[in-house]
Amino acid sequence: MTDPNQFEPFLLAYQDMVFTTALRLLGNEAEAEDVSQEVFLKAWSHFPSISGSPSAGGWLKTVTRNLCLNHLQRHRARWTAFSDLPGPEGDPLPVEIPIAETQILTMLSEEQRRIVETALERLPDHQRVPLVLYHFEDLDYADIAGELGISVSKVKTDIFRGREALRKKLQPTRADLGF
Amino acid sequence: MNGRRQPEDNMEIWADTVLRQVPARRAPATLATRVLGEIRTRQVSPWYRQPWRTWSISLQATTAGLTVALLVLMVWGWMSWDWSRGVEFTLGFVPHLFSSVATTLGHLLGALWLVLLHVGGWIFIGSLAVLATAWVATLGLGTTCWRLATGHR
Repeated sequence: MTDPNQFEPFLLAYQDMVFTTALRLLGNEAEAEDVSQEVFLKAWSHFPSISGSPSAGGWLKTVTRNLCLNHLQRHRARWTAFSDLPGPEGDPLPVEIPIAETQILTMLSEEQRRIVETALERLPDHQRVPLVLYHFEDLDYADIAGELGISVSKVKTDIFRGREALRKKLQPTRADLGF
Repeated sequence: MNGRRQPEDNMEIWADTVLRQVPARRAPATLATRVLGEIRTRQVSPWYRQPWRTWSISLQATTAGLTVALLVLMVWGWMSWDWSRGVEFTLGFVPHLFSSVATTLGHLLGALWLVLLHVGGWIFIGSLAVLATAWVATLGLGTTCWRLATGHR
C-alpha cells in the first residue's frame, strides 16, 4: 500500500489542475472540491501504476472529467432523455453579431479575466459544460455529444448559446475589452 | 485551441482567445488535508473494507481462486443436477426438526413445478415477460414521480 508521504508531493503538484478542471465543469467550488477529493482517492489506489508516468496528468484530467460528468448527470440530471427537447430558451438561435478580425485577439486585464471567469461559472450547466469541453478540454463536437449523450446539433447549439451568453455578460465591459 | 481543430468562425476564435486567458484556480488549502486524512483513515481500516486492488497479492490470488472455484462448482452442480426429480427431492435434505414444514413446502413447490411443466413454455415465458414489464413500469413510474416531486429533469 502506498505511503501517504509519497503521495503528498504528487497531490500537491496536480491539485490546482484537477480543481480548476472540476470547477470549470461544475461551476461550484464546494462540489469541485468534493469531486477533486474523489479523483485523488482514485489516484491513490492506482498510484503504483501512475506515479512517474508521463501520462499521469492526462489520466487525472480524464478521471476528473468523467467524475464531473457523472456528478452532473446524477445530481442535476441535465442530459437525460429530454435533453434534446427545446428548453425554456428553445427559441430560434439568436442572430450572431459578427466580430471583426481586429477584435478577436484581445489581451484581457486581470479584472477582465475575473469577469470572464465569473461569467463562465454562472452559465447554466447545459451551456457551460459543452463550452468548457470544447475550449478547455479540446474535445470536438462528436466527442462532446458522445460524452453527454446528446446529438451533435444540440452540442453546437449549446456552445453557440454559451458563447453568446458569455458575450452578453461581458457587454458592460466591451468598451474596455475593445469590442 | 489544439492543432487538429480548425476554428469555424471569428466567434470561436474570440471565445477561445478570451477563455484561454482565464487563469487556473488555486485549489483550496483544505483539499490536500481532506485527501490525506481520508487516505490515513482508509489505511487503518480493516483490509476487507479496503478496495480489492489494494489487498496483498496473496489475498488477491486466494479470493480470485475461491471465486473461480465457486463458479466452477455452481456450473458443475447446475449441469449434473437431475432436474426431472423435481424440487421435493431437494427439500428431503432438510433436517427432521423442520420436516413437516419442509414437506409442506416441498409439496407446494413440487405442485408448482408440475404446473410449470404442464402449462407450456410460452405461458411460462409470457408470465415472466408480464412480471418484467410490471417491474420496469413500476421503476419508470417511480422515477418519473420522483423527478416531478424534486424538480429534477
